[in-house]
Amino acid sequence: MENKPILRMTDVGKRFQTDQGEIVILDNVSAQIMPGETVAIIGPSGSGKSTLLSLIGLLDTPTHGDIFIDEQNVKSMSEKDKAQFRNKKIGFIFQSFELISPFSVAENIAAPLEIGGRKVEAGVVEAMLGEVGLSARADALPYTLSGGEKQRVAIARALIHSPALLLADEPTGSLDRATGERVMTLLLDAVTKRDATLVVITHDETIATRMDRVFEIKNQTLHERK
Amino acid sequence: MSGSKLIISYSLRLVRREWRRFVLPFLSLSITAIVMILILLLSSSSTLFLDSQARELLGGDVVLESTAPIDTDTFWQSAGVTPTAQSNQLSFSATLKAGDITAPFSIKVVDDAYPLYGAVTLTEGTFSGVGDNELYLDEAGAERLQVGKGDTVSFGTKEFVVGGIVGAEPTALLSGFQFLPRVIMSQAGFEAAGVDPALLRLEYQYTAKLDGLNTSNIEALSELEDQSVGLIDVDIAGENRTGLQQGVQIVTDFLIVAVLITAVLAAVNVYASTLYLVTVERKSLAILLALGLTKNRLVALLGTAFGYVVIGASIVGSLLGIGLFTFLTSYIEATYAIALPSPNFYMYGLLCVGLILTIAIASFVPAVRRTLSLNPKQILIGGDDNSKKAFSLRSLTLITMSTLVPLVVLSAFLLGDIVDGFLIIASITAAYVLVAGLFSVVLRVVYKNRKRFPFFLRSIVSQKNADGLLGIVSFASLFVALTALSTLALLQISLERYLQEDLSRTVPTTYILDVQPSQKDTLTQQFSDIELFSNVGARIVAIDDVRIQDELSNPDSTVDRELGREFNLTARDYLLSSEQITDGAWSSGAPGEISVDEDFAKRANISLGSTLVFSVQGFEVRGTVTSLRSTDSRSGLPFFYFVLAPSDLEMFPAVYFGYSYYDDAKQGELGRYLATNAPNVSVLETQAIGPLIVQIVSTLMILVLVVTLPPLLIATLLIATLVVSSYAARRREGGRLRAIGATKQFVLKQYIAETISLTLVASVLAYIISVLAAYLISQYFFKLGSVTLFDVQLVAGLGLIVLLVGAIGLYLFKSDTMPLRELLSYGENS
Repeated sequence: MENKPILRMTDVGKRFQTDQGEIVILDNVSAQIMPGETVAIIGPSGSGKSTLLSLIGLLDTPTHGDIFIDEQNVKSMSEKDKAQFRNKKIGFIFQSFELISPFSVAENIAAPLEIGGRKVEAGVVEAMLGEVGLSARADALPYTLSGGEKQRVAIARALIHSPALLLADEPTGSLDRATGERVMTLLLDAVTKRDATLVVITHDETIATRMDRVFEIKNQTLHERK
Repeated sequence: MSGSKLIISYSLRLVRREWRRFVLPFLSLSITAIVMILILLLSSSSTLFLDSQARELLGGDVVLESTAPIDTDTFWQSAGVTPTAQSNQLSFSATLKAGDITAPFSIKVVDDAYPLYGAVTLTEGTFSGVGDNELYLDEAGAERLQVGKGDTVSFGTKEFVVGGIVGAEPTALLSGFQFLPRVIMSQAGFEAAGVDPALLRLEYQYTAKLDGLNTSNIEALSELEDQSVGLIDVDIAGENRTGLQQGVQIVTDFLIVAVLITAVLAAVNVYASTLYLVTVERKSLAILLALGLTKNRLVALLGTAFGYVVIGASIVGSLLGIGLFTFLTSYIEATYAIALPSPNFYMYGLLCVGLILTIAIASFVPAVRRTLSLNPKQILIGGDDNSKKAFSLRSLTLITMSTLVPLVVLSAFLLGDIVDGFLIIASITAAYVLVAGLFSVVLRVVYKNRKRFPFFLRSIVSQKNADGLLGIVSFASLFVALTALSTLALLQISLERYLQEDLSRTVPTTYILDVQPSQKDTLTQQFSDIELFSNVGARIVAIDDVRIQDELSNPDSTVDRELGREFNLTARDYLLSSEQITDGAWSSGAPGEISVDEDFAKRANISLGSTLVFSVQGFEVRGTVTSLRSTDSRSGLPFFYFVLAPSDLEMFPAVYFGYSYYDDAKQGELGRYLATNAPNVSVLETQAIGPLIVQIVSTLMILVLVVTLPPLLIATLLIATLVVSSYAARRREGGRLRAIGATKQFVLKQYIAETISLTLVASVLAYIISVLAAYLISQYFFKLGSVTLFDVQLVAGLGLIVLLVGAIGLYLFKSDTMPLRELLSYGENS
C-alpha cells in the first residue's frame, strides 16, 4: 500500500444561501483516505452525506477548504478539467443507477473509455460484463433491466476505466435487501480485486460494517468511528 | 375530496404552478382563434354584403354586355322574362380636353333611367340625371383636367359643362380595376359631340330590373349566353364573379389556405406541448399514480388543466379577433365608404371556440396516451421511462389521423366541399406520415449500423432512437411547420409577382388605342416614332378538318368554347423583342404563312403544318402554321395569338393599336393633337397607371402578409416548443454523461449538432415538398399561371431558422444546465 493518501480533505465546508438565510451543511471537514481502503460515510437523512460525496466527486464545489485527490488540489480546477479528472480518476455508482437510457448495456459500460478518448480494447467490455454476470444482456436497453441488473451495469461502468477512487451513493438504496447484499458483495469483490479505493455513502449499518473504516457526520462535520 | 373536486383542484394547482409550460400552447391557440374568427367574420360579412348589394354592384338584376347592339326585346322574350325597367349604356374610351390639358377617359353614355339600382353620389349636391350639355367627372378625372363643377370640358366638337364631381358610382366596386378616370354623359350629348361611333370601340350594356327571377330563367339566360358563342355576356346579380370580385376571390382562397395551415400548426403545437408536459412532469404524474390516482383520472386531470388553457385561449383569441374585425370594418367604411354588414358575433364566437376546442381535444388525446403508458415503479425507482418502446408506424398513423379529423371538418366547412377538405388534409397527413415513416426507417438503419460511427455520432443516433415516438413526432412536426412556412412564402412570392407582372421596366410609356385607317397616316407623319399594329377582327372557321362553328353548336363537342369568340389578327413581317420562335421558322411575311402563340396552339390543338381558316368580314382567309411563338407577357408589348403576312390582310380595313416611349412634353403634344383631330383615339399613360397598380398591389400584399404572419408565428412557436421539449428529454442524459467525465462542451456540441442537423434535414425535405405544394396550389387553386419555385430569401430564411433552433438550444443549455448534484440521492430536493 502506498503512503500517499488518495483522498485528503482539509477544513472543507459547504453552505447554501436560501430565502431564510445561509444554511451550513458541512463545516470543518478534514480526513484522509489511503489507496485500497474501503470507507463508509454514514449519518441520518439531511446530515450532509450526499453533499460531501458531491464535493469529493467534483460534482459540486466546496465553499471553503481544500480537497486533494491523488495529491491534486481539485478546488481550483476549471469545469473542463474537473470533467476530464472525473473521467480518469473517479467512478460513480448512484442510488438511481443513472444509466444512459439510449445506450445499451455494453455501450453504457464502454462510455467512460470512449468519452476519455481511449481505445476500447477487444474483449474488455465483454470481460467486465462477465464479471458482473450480464454477458447475456450486452445489447439490452436499460429500461428492460431489473433494478439489480441496472446497479450491476453501473458498477461495471464505474470500474471499466480503473479509477483510483470509486464513489457510491446509497448503492443499495433502490434495491431489496437480498439483491442489495448481492450487489454489495459484487462491488466489494471487484474493488478488492483491483485494489481500488471505495467511498460509500449509506445509512445502512450492515453495509458500513463491511468497510475498512467508517465515518459519521455529526453536527456538520466528519468523525471517524474507532 | 370527491373525484371531480380533486381533479379541478389539482388541475388548477398544475396550471397555477406550472403556468410557464402552458404559455406556448396558449399563444398558439390564441393566434389560431384570432385568425379563424377574423377570417370567418370577414368572409361571412363580405358574402352578406355581396348578396345584399348584388343588384347595386352589378347595375341591375341582369346585365347584358356586347360589342354590338342587342335586340333586347327578342332576347328577353327568348329567355322568358319581362323586365319591369331597363337602362341602356354605351361605354368606350376617348380623350377629353379642358384648355390645353387633355386626358384619356373611360366614358359612359347613360339614359334617363340610369342607375337602375343604387345612386350616384356627388361630392357636392345631388345627382338627378345628366343634362344634354353637361357631363360628370370622377375626382381623378377632375384632377387630371384641373376642372371643377361649372367649368368647361370639350369632347369632339362639343363643349360640355361639368355638372358635378362623382364621389361614388354604385357599380364602381365590381367593374374591375379602373385605370382611366371616368366620365358620365347623356345620349343626346354624345350624339351632339359629332364623334363617329364607328370609329370607337363601343361596349353596349343593357341593365334590366326583373321581378321574381327563378332558376329556370337563370338557366335560360345562361343558355342564351352559350348560344351567342361569346357575342353576349350575361351577368346575373349574385351569380357571377368578375373584375375585382375575382381578385377578392383569389385573396379569399389564400386566406382559407392560411387559416387551414394555422389550424394544422396549432393542432401539432398542442400535441407537442402535451407530450412536453407529460415528459417533464413524468415523475410527478407517476407519483400521483403511485398514490392511487387511476390512469383515467390522471388523463382527466391533465385534460382539465389543458381545458382551462384552451378555453381561455379561444375566448381571448375570439374577443381579440372580433375587436380586430370591428376595427377593420370601421376603417373600410371610413376609407372606402363601404359599410360591411356585421355577422352574428355570438354564433361565430361559439363556432370558433368549438372548433379550437375540438382541435385541441383531438391533438391532446393521442398525446396523452403516453401518460397511460406510465409505469410508476419504473419511473420512481428505475429513473427510466419504459414508454419508449419500439415505434409503431401503425400507431403513429392512427394518432395523426385522429388529430386531423377535426381539421378535415374545418377545411370542408371553409372550402364548402367535403371532398376538397378531405383531400387537402389527407395530403398534409400523407406527407406527415411519409416523413415520419421515412425518418423512422432511416433511423433504424443508422441505429443498427451505429457501431461504425465515432462515439459522438453514435450517442446522437442512440439518443434519437431512444426518443421513439416523441422524436419521430418532433421531426415530423418540425417538417410540417417548415413546409407550411415555405409553402406560404412561395405562394406569397408567386402572388406578389403575379400582381406585379404588368410593372416591367420594358412597358412603353404610352399606348394608343383605336386608330382608324383614315387616321393612321396623318398620325404617323406627325409622330413618326409611334409603332402601330393592324388589328383585324376574325373568327376561326376551321382548324385542319374541324369546322369550329359547327362543333360549337354540337352540345357533345369537346372543342374549347373560347375558339368561338372573335380574335384579333395582326399582320407584320418582323418579330418583336418580346417574342421568340419556339418551333418552326418565322415566315418573315411570306403569304399564306401564320405564326401562332404556343400556349394557345396547345389549347386549340394546333401544330406546325395545321391549316387555319378565318372568317374576316365575310371573307375566308386561309393559311398554314409555320411557326409557334412564345411572348414575354411582362414586357408590356402587344400580344397577338395570330400573326399573318401583311399581304393576306391588306384588303381588310383594320383598327390600329400602338405604343411609344414618350416623355411628359411629347405625351402632352400627342394628347392635344388627338383631342382635336382624333378624339376617338385613346391614349393610356402607363406612368399614371403604375402608381395605381403599385398602390393596389401593396394593399393586397399587406393583406397577404398580415394573413401569412400568424401561421409563421405559430410555426416559430412550435419550433420553440419542440426544441424545449427535446431539451427537457435531454437534460438528465447530459448530466449522466458529465458525471462519467464528458465535458459540458461535449454535451452541448452533441445536442446542438443533433438539433441543427435534424432541422437542416427537415428544412431540405420541407422545401422539396413545399415546392410541389406551392406548384399544385398555384396552378389548380389560385390559377396563377406562373409559379415561383425558388427564392433566395426563402432559402436564407430557412437557414436562419436552423440558426434560430441552434440559438434556442444554446440558450436553454446555458440557462438550464442540470446541476450534477441532482444525480445524487438527495437529488432534486437539493
